[in-house]
Amino acid sequence: MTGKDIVDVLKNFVGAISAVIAQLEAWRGLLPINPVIRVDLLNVSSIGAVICGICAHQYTTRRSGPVGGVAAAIAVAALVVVIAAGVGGLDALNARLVSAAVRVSYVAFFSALGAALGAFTA
Amino acid sequence: MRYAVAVTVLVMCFLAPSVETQSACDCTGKAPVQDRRDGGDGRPLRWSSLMRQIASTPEGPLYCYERQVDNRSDREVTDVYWPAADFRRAWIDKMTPICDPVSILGPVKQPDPMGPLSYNTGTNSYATTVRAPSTGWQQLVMMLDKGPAPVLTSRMQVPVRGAGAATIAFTSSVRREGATAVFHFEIANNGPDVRVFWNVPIGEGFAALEFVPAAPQTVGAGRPFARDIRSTEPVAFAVADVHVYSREMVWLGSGVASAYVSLKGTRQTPINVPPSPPRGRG
Repeated sequence: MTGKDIVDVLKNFVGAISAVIAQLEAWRGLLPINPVIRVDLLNVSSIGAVICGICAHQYTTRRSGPVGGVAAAIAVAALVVVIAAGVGGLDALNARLVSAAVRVSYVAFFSALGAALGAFTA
Repeated sequence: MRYAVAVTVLVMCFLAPSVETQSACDCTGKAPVQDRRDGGDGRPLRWSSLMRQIASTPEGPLYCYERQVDNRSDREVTDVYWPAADFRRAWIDKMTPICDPVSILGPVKQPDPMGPLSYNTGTNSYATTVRAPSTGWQQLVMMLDKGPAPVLTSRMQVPVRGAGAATIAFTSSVRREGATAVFHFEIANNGPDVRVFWNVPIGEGFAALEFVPAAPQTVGAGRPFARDIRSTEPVAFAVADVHVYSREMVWLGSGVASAYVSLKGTRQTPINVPPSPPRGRG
């Protein structure tokens, strides 16, 4: 196995960078969210980031398609929802709906970021 | 006829003050408030944490700790998270107070633990100082001597979607018959039906309790749960976690309720619950 082969294998796990970012976010409290959302969803988000990174990398290696772009767009949209809710921009909406949206967006952000990293390194 | 109605109303008015009522936020309804911490601006929440000494035992004082969060706003509040007080609810309906009182044996933690009460999805929070047991809110098991053991009462209020709130009362007592201890457990609920898993450490003979994580007991108005267990194992006091689910096994809330148990008992793993909050704050 050459050095290039090893790098190719490691590229599958580039989504782990997103998982590390999730852990860093939880440690430093970077996003404006209720800490209970982190308690509930940090592990799911971290695992999701790694799995989505692997899947996106494999898909992009074998087929063509805008996987990286779509994933990046989802990550940006999810981040916008999380920040908008955090600064009170969604207060006019149903509280339970906002809670569900932020939870989905929190997981989607890190998972999509992992997928984007996986796809862009293919 | 009119005289009969008038007399009845007068008699009821006369009797009403003598009927002992117990608020949902009180272990016994008798002990005076000993120490209170509270705060919040009512926009949207007010909170309080207080304690009452309800008995003295050879193992130390028995305190009732009350944690209450009152949503004074005209909007529902979600993601109520107060780890210093071991209080968490997915939501609290508008203009609704929710309270958890629990009886816990042993001294009070000094200094008072501090920590935020977070709510809704953003970074909104209130700084709080709470009254808490020195051993923390969970996992306490303390062996008891042969002395009298006061009845333990705990309550928990849980909002149920579209049906108001369930107020669940937990009662545990123990009496000794020679070398055998007779444990009594009761769960009552004056609100909509919910399923309750009381994670009492299971020792010899306790399997008959049927406190099983996958099949929690269904309790509702007029449907209390009560059971006696006989065991020769040493008696202990424990603070057991409680998990409440809808009839469809959707998690509604978690808390704690104290109980007399077997010292050799082991706890089980609840299902369908969110990850445990970090412990040890304060």
